[in-house]
Amino acid sequence: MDGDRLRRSGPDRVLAGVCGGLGEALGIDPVLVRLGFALAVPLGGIGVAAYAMSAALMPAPPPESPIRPLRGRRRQIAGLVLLLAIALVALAASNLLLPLDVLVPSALLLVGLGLAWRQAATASARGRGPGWARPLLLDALRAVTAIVLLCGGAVLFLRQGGDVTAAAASAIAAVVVAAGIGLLVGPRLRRAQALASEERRERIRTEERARMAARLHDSVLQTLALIQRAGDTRGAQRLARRQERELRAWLYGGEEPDAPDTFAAALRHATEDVETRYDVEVELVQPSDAPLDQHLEALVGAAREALTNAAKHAGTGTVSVLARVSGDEASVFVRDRGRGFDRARVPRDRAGLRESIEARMARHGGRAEIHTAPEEGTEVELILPRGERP
Amino acid sequence: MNVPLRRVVIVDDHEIFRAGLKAGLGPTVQVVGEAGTVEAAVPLIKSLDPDVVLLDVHLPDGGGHAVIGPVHSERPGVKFVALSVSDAAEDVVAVIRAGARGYVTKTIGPAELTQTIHRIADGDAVFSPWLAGFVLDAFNEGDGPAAGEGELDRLTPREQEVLLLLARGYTYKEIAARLHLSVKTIETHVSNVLRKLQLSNRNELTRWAAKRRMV
Repeated sequence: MDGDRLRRSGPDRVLAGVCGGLGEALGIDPVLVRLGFALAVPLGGIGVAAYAMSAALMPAPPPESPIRPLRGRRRQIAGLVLLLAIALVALAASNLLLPLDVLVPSALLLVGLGLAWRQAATASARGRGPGWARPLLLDALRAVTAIVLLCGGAVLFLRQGGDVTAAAASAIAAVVVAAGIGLLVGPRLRRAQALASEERRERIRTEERARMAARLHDSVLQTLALIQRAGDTRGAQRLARRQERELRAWLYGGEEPDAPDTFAAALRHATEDVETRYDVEVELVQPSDAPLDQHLEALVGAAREALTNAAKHAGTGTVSVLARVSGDEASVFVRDRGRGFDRARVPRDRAGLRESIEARMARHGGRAEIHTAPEEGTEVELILPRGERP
Repeated sequence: MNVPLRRVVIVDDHEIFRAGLKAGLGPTVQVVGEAGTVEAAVPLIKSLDPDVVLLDVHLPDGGGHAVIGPVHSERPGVKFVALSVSDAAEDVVAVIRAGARGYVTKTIGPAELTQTIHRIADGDAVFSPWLAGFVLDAFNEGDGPAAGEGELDRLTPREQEVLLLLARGYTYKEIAARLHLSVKTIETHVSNVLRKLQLSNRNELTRWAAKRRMV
């Protein structure tokens, strides 16, 4: 038989759609199938067990088929279950087929199965949506109750031992327990499957991001480069540069804008800040990088001060910065082709040069050299030895 | 003015960028051809025989280095400059090792680009500050007594000095003035560095390049 065709029926169902599905697959009127199951119920409960097992084993109806709702048919189902119970009690009381000591464990098993079933149903329903992570405690409680009831019923069955019905009952119990365990384990498997597909989606998202990076590289970065070349106004130019840097950092660095944790990132942030504040263009060259420590942080601070001086006083639109860092030494060169100055004529109380640059570098074991002359531009060299620190 | 007219081919897959480049070049540079793919560029350059090719590092059907090889064998006089927006250093290094005479970023100003084209046409090498900084650090890394390398694998102190000033944003003229050398000597030093970059077998070059981006 075609395995794909045997599944629980959605539209033609009374309880779980087992009979509807079987009828569909076998080409028989489902009413006949139901009759078969009903007749099997008094035979030591085989009908119930077979039905539960089928419900657990047969795949769910195809998602696109309409499902006849259980809601609104509660009475019908309750009536059905009641009828079943009365039949069983009557049969048992008249000692026809099922003695009471079989019926009680059967009832326990049925309730356990019911609990397990409800769990299976809700779990599979939740497995499809994103909000399936329900309180685990409730889930666990329900699972434990179901197991206890199932095992209790099974033990009661098995304890009878000896007579003929007991052997059959034990077999039934084993089947019912197996079905119950299947119901319990099934949803968890399904959930694992859901997790796996979630991971697959995540991978797809990552690939999508890579594709997007390639695309942005081809479009946005190119356009920004063009804007910079055309450069009608300095404002547009500055905006383009800043936009380009931000995008670049996001695409290739994946770094947060507020938390630079490497030397190069920290210096780039300082540079961008000065660019925005003073309307100046900084050519930043930093071929090497290292994790940021307090000494490198001080170096970045001094470099920012030198940049700010160049932006404020040099009177040119462009500043060149080279930053290098190795295990032995870190250095930053800040250079402009502006008007330069005469050190002797800088007022003594001007904090920028003396305190923020020279003294700061000295505190961290480094030094600052300033080369300048009127009309010849300025270059600030900041050298920070790192030899003794690994 | 006795500046010779330079014939240039632009190879870049972005039409809008080619148009922008063309518009900014001065009267001493004539764009004789354009191509957007490796496949189109190779026969075009062979037939036009330009002085200089501006070559995008990335092309849709391969890296820019794929253009240089086939052209070189037939037209050894054609000189290439690598041009890029933001590329992995290893791609830039690949184009240079394939034979490009220099590397500039696409944000270079029109006047500077015109100057670069003339310099390349004259047989000089052109390093952007970024390339200079990269080469300097790549050659320095792992230096030690144990490194048994040939002349090609090491930069002379003078070459390092020149590269450092290039990376700091100095022009050739400024470097010459600062080191008390002639511009011609500076050009020779840079050409030597380019030769070492193209011929050196240093592992560091590739290793370094793989980790970095040139802006």
